[in-house]
Amino acid sequence: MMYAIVDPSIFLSLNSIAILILALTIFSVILLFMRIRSWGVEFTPFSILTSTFTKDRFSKRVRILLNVSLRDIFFLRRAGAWCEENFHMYGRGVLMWGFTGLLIFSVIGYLFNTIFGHLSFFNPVNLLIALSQLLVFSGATMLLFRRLSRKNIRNSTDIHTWLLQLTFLLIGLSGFLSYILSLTGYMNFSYGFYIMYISSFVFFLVYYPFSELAFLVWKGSLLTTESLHEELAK
Amino acid sequence: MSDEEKGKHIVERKYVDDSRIIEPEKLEIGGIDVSGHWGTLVLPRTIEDFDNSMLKKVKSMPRGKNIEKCWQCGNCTAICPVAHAHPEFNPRYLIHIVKMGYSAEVEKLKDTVYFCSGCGLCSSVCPKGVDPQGVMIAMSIAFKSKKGYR
Repeated sequence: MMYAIVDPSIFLSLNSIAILILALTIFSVILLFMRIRSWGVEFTPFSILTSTFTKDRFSKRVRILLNVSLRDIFFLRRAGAWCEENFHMYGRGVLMWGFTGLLIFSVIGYLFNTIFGHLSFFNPVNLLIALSQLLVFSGATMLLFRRLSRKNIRNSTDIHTWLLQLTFLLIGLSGFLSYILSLTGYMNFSYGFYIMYISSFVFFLVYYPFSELAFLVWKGSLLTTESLHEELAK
Repeated sequence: MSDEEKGKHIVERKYVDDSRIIEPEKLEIGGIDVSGHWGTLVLPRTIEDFDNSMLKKVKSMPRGKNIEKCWQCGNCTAICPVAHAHPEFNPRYLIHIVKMGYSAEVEKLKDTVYFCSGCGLCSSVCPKGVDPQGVMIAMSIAFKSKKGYR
């Protein structure tokens, strides 16, 4: 549900885009499940749900899950403890914070827009969406810069890694430019970047189950589930 | 005597399994008391369980296919920022034990593979194009597969 900062009515209605993105999100989740199953593993990210939503100590499980997710993943404790390469770690962190913000504020923006009508460009929700897009762009730039600036890493990087990071870069850049250009009055350019923004997000949804991100989602949820069981056993 | 106390005077004790240390509390040979650490015996390490199924599984994955090219130079471990902070994570050794099929050793160390942060520095210095980062991904999946060790 990508909320439009620029009024997209010229091309598509906001509701059509929301339905398209929602349908593709469900489709990509199914693809992710199938891809992970094809590895021959029993654990899938959905196993977190079965580990959490049981009657036995339910509230404690939810509390631990939130603590572990925030502490280890969102605040980079796990990555920080494991990795001494700060530039890489913060690049991933900035990208993750931005993308999470983008998803959350886009949904909020869409709901506000549906309930209260079109939001002004200076609405705090729009500003937060733009800030999230800037973070996504910055994180992707950091990760790409790291790979491009070091010959050895550049030469050994997998094509799927390039593609995934470029997709993030495009999502962040096109979304942010669309917002900035709409503020400065260049509406035609703004619409163009908006179309690019939606297209790159659609591509991301279809592509990510086949990229390295699928493994990162699987590994992150696996370690989170193991931490949940360890904390419960204490 | 507890397992922790057993053989505590041995240099690099942590590398020796408890079960391989024999330290009789009372031992007398030829009328001479050689109790305590004088009588400590460290049994040779014998590997009886070879299982190449994990190697096959790793090789069957796109980024794990070059594992057999590894000649154990150790460049991957030397450059790994995670291994510096956590020496128990050793990509070179993980590749070695999977290649050799040391299933008991794999069982002991398999959880360390999830330490890999995926930075790709190891792949950038590998002279044989093994792509250790990809191999770590393949191992992470293989260790949790239905036909794996767990």
